[in-house]
Amino acid sequence: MTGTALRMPALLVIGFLVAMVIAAILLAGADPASVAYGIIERALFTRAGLLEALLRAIPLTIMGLGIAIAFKARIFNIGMDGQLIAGSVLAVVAAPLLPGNIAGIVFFLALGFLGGAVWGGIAGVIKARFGGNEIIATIMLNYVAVQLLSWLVRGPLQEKMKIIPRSDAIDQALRLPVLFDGTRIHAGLIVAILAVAIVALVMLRGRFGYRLAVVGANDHAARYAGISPAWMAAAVLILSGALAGLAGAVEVAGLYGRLQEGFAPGFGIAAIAVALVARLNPLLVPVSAFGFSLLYSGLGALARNGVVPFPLINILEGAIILVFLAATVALRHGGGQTREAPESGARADG
Amino acid sequence: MTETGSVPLVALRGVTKRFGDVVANRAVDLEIGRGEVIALVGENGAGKSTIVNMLSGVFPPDEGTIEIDGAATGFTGPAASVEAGIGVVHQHYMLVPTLTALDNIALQASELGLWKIDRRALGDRAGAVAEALGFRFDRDQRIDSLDVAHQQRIEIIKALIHEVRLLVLDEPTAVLGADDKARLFDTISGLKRQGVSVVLITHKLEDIFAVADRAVILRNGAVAADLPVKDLSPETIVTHMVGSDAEARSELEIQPETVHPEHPVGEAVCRVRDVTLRRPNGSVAVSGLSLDLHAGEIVAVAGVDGNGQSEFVHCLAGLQRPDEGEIDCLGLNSRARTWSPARLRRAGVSHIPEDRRHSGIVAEMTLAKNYLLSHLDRPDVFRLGLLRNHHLGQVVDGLLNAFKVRAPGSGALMKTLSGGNQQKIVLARELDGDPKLILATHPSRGLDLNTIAFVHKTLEQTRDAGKAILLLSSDIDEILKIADRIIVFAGGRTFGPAPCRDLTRQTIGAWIAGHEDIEA
Repeated sequence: MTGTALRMPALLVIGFLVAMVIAAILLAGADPASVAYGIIERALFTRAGLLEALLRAIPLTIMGLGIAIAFKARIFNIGMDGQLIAGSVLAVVAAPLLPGNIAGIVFFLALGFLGGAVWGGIAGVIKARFGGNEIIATIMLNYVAVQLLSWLVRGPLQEKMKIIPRSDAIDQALRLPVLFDGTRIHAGLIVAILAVAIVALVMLRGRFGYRLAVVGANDHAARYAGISPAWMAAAVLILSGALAGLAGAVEVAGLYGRLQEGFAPGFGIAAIAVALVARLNPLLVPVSAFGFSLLYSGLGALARNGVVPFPLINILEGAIILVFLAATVALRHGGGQTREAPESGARADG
Repeated sequence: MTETGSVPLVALRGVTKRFGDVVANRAVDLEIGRGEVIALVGENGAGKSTIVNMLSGVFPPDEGTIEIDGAATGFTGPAASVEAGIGVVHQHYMLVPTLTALDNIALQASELGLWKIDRRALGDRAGAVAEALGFRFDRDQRIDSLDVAHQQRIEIIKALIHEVRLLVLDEPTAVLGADDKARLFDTISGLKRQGVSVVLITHKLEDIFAVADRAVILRNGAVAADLPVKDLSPETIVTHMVGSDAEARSELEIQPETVHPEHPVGEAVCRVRDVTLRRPNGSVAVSGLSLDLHAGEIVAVAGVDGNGQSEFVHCLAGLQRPDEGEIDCLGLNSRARTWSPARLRRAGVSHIPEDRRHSGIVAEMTLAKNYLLSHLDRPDVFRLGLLRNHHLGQVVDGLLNAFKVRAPGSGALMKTLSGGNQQKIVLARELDGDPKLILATHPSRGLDLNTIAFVHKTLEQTRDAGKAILLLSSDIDEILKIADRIIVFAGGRTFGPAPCRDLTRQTIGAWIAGHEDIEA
């Protein structure tokens, strides 16, 4: 019953959005078919497009894992952008103290992890100790982090030349090495793969993963079983914040080498879409992250070529994400009837 | 009583209501005369609430008719019932705590228009109703600043703001102190003088004698007795509530020796000292309770639901702390920070929760994962911190066999099982391992007879294996069958604990009704 109940609106949403997007492109004076071809060509049929997507998939995977953990426990962490900033700031601030070797890189990433954990932990304490809504707290902390970064790169952390609002570059020895010559694909890929493996083990086979699934599915049962939903909420916000911070440190050490404003634009929100399309399954998160990255890479080419006005790019992005999400709902609940059939059978003889 | 010849205000004729296989009301005949106060009495599940819900139009009867002024009426919904002049004050108040008294009344008074609440006119009407009842009514007072007794008055005003000819009060005295109770009875008498009929749902004998003209006693969904109160004595009411003397005696005489064999009782695993518990609204649920639970005995907590038993079990499970007094349980103290569900479970307390669907299971998870809820610390199901899915499956499949659960296997989702089988799994889960104290809340509620027998046998075996069991039950038969001692909760008081073999059904029934011992 729920299958059809959800499927119809989902399909309606898809149809509506597709129609709107086509209308928008036509209004902009472009040919929808060539726009679609442009996106697909760049994303799938050019080396540059594929590599760009892979590069983008690294932070999105790490952050998507963090969202998967949080949403599994029904904790809605909207503050990954802020946590990412907090992690990168802490890592960059402490970078001069780190040794210039592999250990230094590990410490650098660990500091990013820690910084994100602290930023997520603030929302965690607000939620667990005072019952504050984590959505509000994490969103507000985003603004705090963005402004903090803005001040740091214009004030205490600004480069010695004092021209551009950005920090000095970190020691070259702390940069993540490039894995494949002639590309920008860096060792962050290994970090992402390790993160997928560890998070998958914890979520699917670990005690912690079990606890957060129980809290997400039935917090009353969790309380009766001795699992404190408040404590879990705090732990989950710390952990998902830490993953966002790790992603920030990976971006800094892998790509930019320094702090600057807006270096991971909208990743926190994109990570939510990534995790939702992956149905919060950590093993599907990298697949979903790569899919989204292909989309960004294709849209990026479209923007550079000036085929359509720039604001339309954002509209296209939003519409495509919504279509993806609506499609997952439609597909997931499409099999609803068959899934519920044995249930009623079991009830009848029970 | 209705005068002969006159048409009753409301009449139920041969009303039957079923929910699935359960017959909630069986061919109920009930007449309510004008200006008559009727006490509707019965134990839990006797069918009182079902009658209220049919009178207030929540659902229609399956068979039979409801007549108003002699004409058969089919309520299309709650609004139709209000239209017909029936007002209901539910046991759990339907008030918005953050709104004022007047705004809460406005919520009910739907005819006040779509655009704007005419607060002045409504306030005057509510004030007039309050005055007629002798209440002081402060229209701007917020509900959450009022105590339960005053909240109840707002509910009564809310119900009477309409033209009400029959007022139904569902367990109105359950939360009231003695003074407030006396005032409520005055109100009821006042309504009676104004010609309003009142149905008072209660399980307390004193309420019946204080205010009712006629008592209708329900048992198992059917009317067991319908008599003027002046012809009744406490003994006869209890007899009707719990079943006839003869029935009871014959049941007890079947196996008088095996029913209460002597059990070697071990040391106390849990000591409760002068414990007072309050509900969130501040009313006292349990006051000054002291009780020891020993290894190798089943102590039953009896009483009608809502008399503090749930709060007591929650407290023992670590879900709340006593407001006064203290509990020592398996080395943990209720005043210490360690008094939490997790620590108590680890110390050996297992808990079969009252509302299993709500708090005992995770419907979306497999049976195996549901078993883990209480056994996350079990060493053999994790290796290097990772769940051994296959091994866990085998463990749970073994339990499914032992408890004869009808399920395809440990990998099935909990929600695909019937309620009875879900309950067996909870039971199996909570008895597995090595619990020292088992809090069994209504362990047989909603089960078929075979399963109930199985549950009782399992609990007895567990007791004989030297565990302490606290059995929360409202079923006297169940208590007399398996419990060693009993303590009865009634209206903030407790009766007992006393050994079951020293008590008769009559005495227990009287205690449940909040009455001291009755001479047989």
